[in-house]
Amino acid sequence: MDQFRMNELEMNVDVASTLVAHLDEKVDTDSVEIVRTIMQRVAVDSANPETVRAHAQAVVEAIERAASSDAPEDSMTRVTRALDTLQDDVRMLRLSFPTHETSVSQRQDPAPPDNPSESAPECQLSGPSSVAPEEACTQGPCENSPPAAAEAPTEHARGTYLGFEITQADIIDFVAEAQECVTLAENALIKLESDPKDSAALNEAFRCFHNIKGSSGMLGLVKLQELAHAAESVMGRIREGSLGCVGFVSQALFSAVDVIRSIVRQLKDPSSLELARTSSPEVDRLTQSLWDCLSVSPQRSDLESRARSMSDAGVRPPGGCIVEDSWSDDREPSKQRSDEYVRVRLGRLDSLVDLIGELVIADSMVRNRMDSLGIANTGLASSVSQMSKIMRQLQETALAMRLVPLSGVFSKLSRVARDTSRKLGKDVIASFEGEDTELDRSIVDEISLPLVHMVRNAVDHGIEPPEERLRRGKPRTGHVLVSARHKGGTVIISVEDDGHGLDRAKILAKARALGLIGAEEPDDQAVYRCVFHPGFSTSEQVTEVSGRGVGLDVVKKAVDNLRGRIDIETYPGKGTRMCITVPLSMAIIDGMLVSVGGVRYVIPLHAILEALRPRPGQVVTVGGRQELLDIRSNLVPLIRLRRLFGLPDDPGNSSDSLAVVCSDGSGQCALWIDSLIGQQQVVIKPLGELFRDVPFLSGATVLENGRVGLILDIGGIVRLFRER
Amino acid sequence: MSQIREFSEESSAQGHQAGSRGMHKYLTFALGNEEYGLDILRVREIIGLMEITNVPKMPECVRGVINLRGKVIPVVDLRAKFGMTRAPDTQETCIIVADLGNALMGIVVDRVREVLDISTEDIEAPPSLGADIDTHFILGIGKTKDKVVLLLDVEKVLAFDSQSVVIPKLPATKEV
Repeated sequence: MDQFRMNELEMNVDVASTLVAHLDEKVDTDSVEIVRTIMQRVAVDSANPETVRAHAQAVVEAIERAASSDAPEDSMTRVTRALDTLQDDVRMLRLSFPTHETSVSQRQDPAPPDNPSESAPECQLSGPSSVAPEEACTQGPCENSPPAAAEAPTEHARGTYLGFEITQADIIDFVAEAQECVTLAENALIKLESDPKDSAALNEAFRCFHNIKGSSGMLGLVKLQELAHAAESVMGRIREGSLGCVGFVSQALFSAVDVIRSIVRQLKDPSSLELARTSSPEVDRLTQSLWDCLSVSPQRSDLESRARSMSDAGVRPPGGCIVEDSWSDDREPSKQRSDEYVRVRLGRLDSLVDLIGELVIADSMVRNRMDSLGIANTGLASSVSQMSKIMRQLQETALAMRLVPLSGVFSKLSRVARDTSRKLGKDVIASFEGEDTELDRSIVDEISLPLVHMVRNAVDHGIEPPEERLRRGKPRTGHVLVSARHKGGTVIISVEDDGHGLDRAKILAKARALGLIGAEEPDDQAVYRCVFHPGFSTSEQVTEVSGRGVGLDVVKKAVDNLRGRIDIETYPGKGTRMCITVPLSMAIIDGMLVSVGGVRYVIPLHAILEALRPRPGQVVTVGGRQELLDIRSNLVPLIRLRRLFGLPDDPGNSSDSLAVVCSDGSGQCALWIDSLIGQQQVVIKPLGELFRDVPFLSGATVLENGRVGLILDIGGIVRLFRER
Repeated sequence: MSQIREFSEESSAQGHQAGSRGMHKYLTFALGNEEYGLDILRVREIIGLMEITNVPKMPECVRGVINLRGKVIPVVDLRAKFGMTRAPDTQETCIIVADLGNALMGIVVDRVREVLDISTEDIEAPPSLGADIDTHFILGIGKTKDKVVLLLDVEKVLAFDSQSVVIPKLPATKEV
């Protein structure tokens, strides 16, 4: 078979699938005729590989059945699936195809002449070559491309595969799609563990592996493709019912999910494409063990002999051979999903939200100007207020677009709970509430790791081993509940277990040994808060899971970064609950505008406890330098912001000046300001590298007069004064 | 058709040659009586002086931050940076927004002059001016028919490392 034939074959299959895709539910005789003709051509063209011919035949049969069937919707799915199988075959055929001269023309002109280093490896790849494409791709660019070219921030080619240019965008798309697939597959597998007959989950897992197989093939990730192919085949057999999703089969599928995920994650750095293409023994072994799964004796006796004869003959079920005999009554879940969602690149969404933020500021500037000019045109005023209303809605909508549900994180947690409990030989059920709770995407990303630590911690330190639980009269199976809910502008996520609770005495002893707590008798919260201290662990032995004392301090740090709070409740012998409270969005906060030395600053509203005008005698000076404010016999350091900012003290006119009492969760301080201006929602903007070391600022915002307002970092100020 | 292609190839080759011979465009601006130049490719825009929000505890040469259509960018006073006396702001005082690759930064200058073509041949290495005067941020000295321009290395001028930014770790409240 030559290159020309190969191209024609590909084109024909594409034409057929386009045609079928446009058929909808109505199958008329004409289109059946066309497909039949095309398929006959395909069968003739691919004289060599038997499977292609067989699958082409299957397509013809399916479409004929569809034409005569009275349930066309159902049978059309079969046609589509048969075509998909055929396309996979063609793709596989393409991979084993030795030369690809004609495809050179499909590429763009290579790099500009003044940059020979970049074009060199491409030429080698795309030119007529007698080397097998697989080899050329895995070895060629690795050895030939100089590091400079590889690191060049080019939007263009990241290399070619089979003469097709693979752009960075392709890789990004692939990573996004594959990540979604991996997560869906994992969820489905977890569902299958509890209900092996869940047909929706079976189809989902199958579809996910199938998608990964297809798209990895397009990028030339042969090893990944083989792995996904094997996993898909195993899933196919499970779906048939001739293989149970239990024991090592399930384990192998979970491992496949993990390996695929790690390869995909690696690809986030597009320069690692070549690396991902090369084979690794781990992937090969896993692929093999998946194939091995297919040769275990099936559960259902009527299928047993058939399966055995297959494995005896050493026949590996090719690509989608399951399709032929498993026309089950499944639906196509992908269709409804694509109707409801559009995948948008995060950067675009961010810039949209930014721009709308600008619009809102510009709007308030217009209104300000109108007010100051004293324009009394009612028509104009009402138009402007109409515009402002729309602007607010627009802003809300845009911010809502960034919100994603926590369900993705939760499914990861159920996996963590499962793996951790297995490793420790504990019996734990993890359940989840409020996985529909939505949060800003960046927060969801940030919160995922802390939650993993918390769940792991609950299973390891919270839940007792089964014997101990029985001895204490508790049910053998421990329970970890992760729940999320909205409260005001915040989201509260709690992780609770029904284990033995925190051991106050043990923590206190350890805290004293580490010098975290002095000889005085601290309150419970102060004791429990010690577990968030870096390196703090009461666990006697370091296990693979936890006990190294890393974990909870990571949680604390991450929550602090999100301007959130963490609380612990614990009941000895009954369990522990840890609650994380985080803001809904990182982009906008409610702020209190204050004035210091004629400049406006923003204090985040959530940090403010109260504002008061100190009476004489309420301010005490300690050691001749540090002032303290006595608030109901609670002494709080008083920080004169003018002095902190290096400004002269307010000359006389101090009638407006106030002390604003703030808390960052770990400590309090009172800020002495010139005057309070008012409350306002502000869009947070980064302040940039130059101001990285300024300890008392966390960011900036654009105020309604168009000027920049600086946002005070209460945590930073508290730390500044605690250190002294 | 083929003629057109030849022509375009030729012209692009010329452009290329010119580039390699180093005909560069520089935006020149004045600080007092001295004239400086910045590589035009690093200049994003020139804006009039606007209200600058002062950031406390920054070195004198950091004037503060401005709102550049929603982006918050720092503004540096080159006079202060070069240790010159601070001049009162005039109508001509303006901010050059420079692109540092990963960030934008504003530079306050007395006034902008023009865009000059200077070829590499006309650029001399920065002279050594003795230990007192730091010349490491001077790319070279460009000469044209009637004047001499100090060409600045924008990255070095605006690089604030630990030596150039001295932020007091703790506020001076000893005397409180």
